[in-house]
Amino acid sequence: MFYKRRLCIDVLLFVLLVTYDTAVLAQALPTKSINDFAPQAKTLFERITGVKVPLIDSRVQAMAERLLKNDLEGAVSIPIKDPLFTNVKARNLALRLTNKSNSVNVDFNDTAALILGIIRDNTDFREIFTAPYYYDVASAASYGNPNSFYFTNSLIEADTNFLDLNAGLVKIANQRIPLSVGVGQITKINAEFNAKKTDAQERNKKMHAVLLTAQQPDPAGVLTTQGFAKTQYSGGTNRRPVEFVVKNFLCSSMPEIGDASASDAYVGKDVDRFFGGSYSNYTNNCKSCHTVMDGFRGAFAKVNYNNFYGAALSGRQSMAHGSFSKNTNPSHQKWLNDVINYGTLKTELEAKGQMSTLYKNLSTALVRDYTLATKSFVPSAPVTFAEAQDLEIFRNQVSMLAPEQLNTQYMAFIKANPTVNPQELDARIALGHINDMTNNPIKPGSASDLFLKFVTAKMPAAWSFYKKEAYVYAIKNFKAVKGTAVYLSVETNKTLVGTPFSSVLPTLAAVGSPLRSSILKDSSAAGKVVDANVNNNWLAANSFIIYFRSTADLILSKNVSEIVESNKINFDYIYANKNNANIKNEYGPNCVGLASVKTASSFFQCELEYKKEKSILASYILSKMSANKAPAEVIQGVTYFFNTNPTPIFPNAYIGFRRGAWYAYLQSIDNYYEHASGGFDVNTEVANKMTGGADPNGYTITDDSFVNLASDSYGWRGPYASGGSGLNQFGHMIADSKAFSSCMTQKVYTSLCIQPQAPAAGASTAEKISFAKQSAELKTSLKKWTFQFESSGYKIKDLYKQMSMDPNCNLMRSYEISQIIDGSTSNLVNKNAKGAK
Amino acid sequence: MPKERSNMLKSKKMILNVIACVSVSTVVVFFFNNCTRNEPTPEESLMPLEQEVDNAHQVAKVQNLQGETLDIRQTLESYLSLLQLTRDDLGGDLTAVIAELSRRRTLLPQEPDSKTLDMVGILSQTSLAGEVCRVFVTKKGPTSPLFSGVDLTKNPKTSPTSNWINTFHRLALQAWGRSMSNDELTSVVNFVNESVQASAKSPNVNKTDSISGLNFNVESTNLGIMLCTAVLVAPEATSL
Repeated sequence: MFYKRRLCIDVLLFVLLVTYDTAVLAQALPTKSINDFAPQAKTLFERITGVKVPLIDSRVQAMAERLLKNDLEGAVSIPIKDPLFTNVKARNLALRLTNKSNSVNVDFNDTAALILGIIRDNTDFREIFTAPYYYDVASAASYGNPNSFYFTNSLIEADTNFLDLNAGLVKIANQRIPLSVGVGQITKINAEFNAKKTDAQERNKKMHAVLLTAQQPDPAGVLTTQGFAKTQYSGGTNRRPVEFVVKNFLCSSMPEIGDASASDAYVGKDVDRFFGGSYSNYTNNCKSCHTVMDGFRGAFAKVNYNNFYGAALSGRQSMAHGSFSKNTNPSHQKWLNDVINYGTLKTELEAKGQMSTLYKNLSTALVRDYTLATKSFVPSAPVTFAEAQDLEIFRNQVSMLAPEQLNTQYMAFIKANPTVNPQELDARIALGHINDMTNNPIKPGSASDLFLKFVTAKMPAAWSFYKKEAYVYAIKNFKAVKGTAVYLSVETNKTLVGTPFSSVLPTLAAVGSPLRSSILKDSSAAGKVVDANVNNNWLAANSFIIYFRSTADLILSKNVSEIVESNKINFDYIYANKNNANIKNEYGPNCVGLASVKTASSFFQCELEYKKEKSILASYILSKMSANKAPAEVIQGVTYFFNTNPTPIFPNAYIGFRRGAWYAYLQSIDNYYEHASGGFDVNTEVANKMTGGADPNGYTITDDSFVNLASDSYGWRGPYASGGSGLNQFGHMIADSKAFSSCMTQKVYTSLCIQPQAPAAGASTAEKISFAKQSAELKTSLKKWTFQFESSGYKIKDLYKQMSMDPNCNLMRSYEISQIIDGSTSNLVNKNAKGAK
Repeated sequence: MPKERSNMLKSKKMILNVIACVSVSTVVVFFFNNCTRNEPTPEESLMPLEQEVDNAHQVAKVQNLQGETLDIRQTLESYLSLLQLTRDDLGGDLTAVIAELSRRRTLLPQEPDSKTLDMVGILSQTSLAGEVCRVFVTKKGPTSPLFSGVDLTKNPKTSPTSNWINTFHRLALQAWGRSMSNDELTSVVNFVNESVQASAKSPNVNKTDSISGLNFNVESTNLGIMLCTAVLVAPEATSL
């Protein structure tokens, strides 16, 4: 019994022992599951993508499954391929490279897009300095609009609208550079867009035709992006980009890369060799940095970031290149002459007066005034123009219209209005309301078609006569549409040529014109240069002034006669006392001294320019307008006219007027354009800002060659290691250097890995030794990663991948895994995040 | 019955009981630990505080952010990811989230550690997190396991306080990757108790809003958003 009991107990104990041992063994050597690897997978995913994820995330679970199977590379591939890697981790790296502060809190731009695109596509990262292509964001609303791309950084939308950059970035073959902008076209397209609510993409396509661009003559990756140009080429002496590249892409600084022992033969003329009166100041404080910096900066000799001319376009800046400036110099000079300096037209105006091209152009500008948007006018309730001069003006206007255009419009209108009175039809044509007629083409072979073919082709003489009669009819039956600039101008004109304003006041008072309110709010608005993109009021106001001026000779001459006839001024007294200080002060020193002072028109012109609205002539006209109860906006517009611009009838009329009028004309015919600024030497193509200074010992830059005077410790390699010409070769020199690959490796490391932590004060010797060991290992690892980066073709994605798997990146922790690293099997038992402790 | 036999049988019974208990417990722990997820738990049975084995490492990570600055996009992506929301989930709320993103873009601290955190940065993060949580609670709240045991259609007091606390606990586990510490638990318990009591006095205590065809009690929705926001705005929810 005892034995039986003993046996039973022994058996039980044995069972228990076996059970216990099994349990202990099971605890000591647990079977691993996916859940055991999930924390490791989570860490890897978060550090690689830069985004926190929960353990339950399917991607984390998939990674854990691969870790369980010892497939570390497979696991790491998951976050590398995830869109979050591009959208966050790589984007942050790209953004940091675009600014000197290495901040991620900066606008996304084309520089960052290029870097990010190269990372996403895993192409050779050296191409960030040599690429002829660029990247844009296809999912952005402004995609395809060069106006936005080159002038307003449309890529910022990637962040403001939270766009998926991984999917949205598109590579575009050739970098381009803007040459000129046709503002009139932009106006037209915008107007069309606003009126018809055309699809935005459609408008963007049309915008392509507005901005004239040329292929970038020296594409060099980020160096020729708008974002880089804006921050590095704007103003200065193009030394800023050198320092930027050295800091951000070689992980160095100017003092570090500087070399006091190098030749200062390339130091510019703007660096004073006797700074503070002492040569040693120069050698001790300036020379070291400038030797290398100025040797490099030659590469940037032909680039600038500057403005497109035109007051309406301030802020419209873009990258410019010397060669482009040289190639387009003839058109640039013509533009300067015709639009800015107004050379030939001024001469012609002085010689021909109202028969000059400018004068005709003004009339045409008026005819095609955008403010006549309704384009409808009713030839009823005739308004008679007493002066024959007015008829001549309108004839000039019509003569500017191309006959073929008239025919087309004529045909179209007849089709739409088969019972139209021919005289009324020609009246419309004569007054420029051709756009009111439908543009629907006449059906070939129709009666209208045959009629018009007959009239235009078979009876040219009759056609000419018919038109002439129509002009007369038009003038006699003219009535401008209320609220337009023409309407206000006509009413103003009538007031000034003698018609009592009170007779038209009731109708004028009823005008609900935007022009009226804009002038009342800001009298100067009437004369401001047109912002044709957005504000039709400016066009209206400008047209009003143009019209007023186009008839000002008549207005002024009539009023001059009235002043003289009414003996309101004694010319004999003024001429007799022309040396009297008070008289000089009263009428202007030049005016009273003129030999022609007795000629009323010359004197009034001179005095008007001297005293503006306080002049005799202006005071007379303004008081007359007030007496005739002219509306406030009209008086203000005329006052502005007097204060800013003398009349065009006088030969030395103020150039600003002509320029403004010329702008308006060009805009009205969609030929107005902006031209990129010069700022380059026409012969050498070198930016003027590169050749400043007067130190006789300084180097004169005559081309974009550069020399590399920096220390060999930067590991210069490749065909341009010692120097070259232009941005692309400079980019090659930087990208081929050992310092570049090392620097990029460091940046990837700091954005991915967990660094060893320096021991705190009072740390044990063991801890200090441990840290020293880790630091030494890290140094070796960085060299190894740099080598891997280069040997794998400079692929940033691959670098992230390789580094994240490396124990010295400290992302592997708290688990056991065996895998191949560097060709040997390493057992990462309890690596447990060495640096994180 | 001899005494030895009696003792032996007792021992045997005890051993069998132990084995049975261990077995049952093992089965329950490993296979049915979530079996009560969909039922309101009694107020006194809070979820156990499972301190993560590697909790010390988590603390170290917060202080160890080399190379990572806090970018608004990164923050938003993390919030969405932690709540398992996608851009498509945002739907019509995308505009509101983007607007919040734009407002807070330049206001976040450069780095989410104690040296650079400031009031503006914290408030900005809170505001952005709140916007994301609003979308999450109103779109995913009713069906999310994170809110199991909590009825968002009724006032907060209708659901046991412990379930609200467990909601926070689950959110913390998901976002921080660890359980709450005792101090954190104390704070959350106090916060939930005070919030539930305050909501009971609110004139909106039984007010409901219809969002996307679902009825939400205003006070419960707000409490849910607050708990979610409190979790997301913690540095551990964004630090890597």
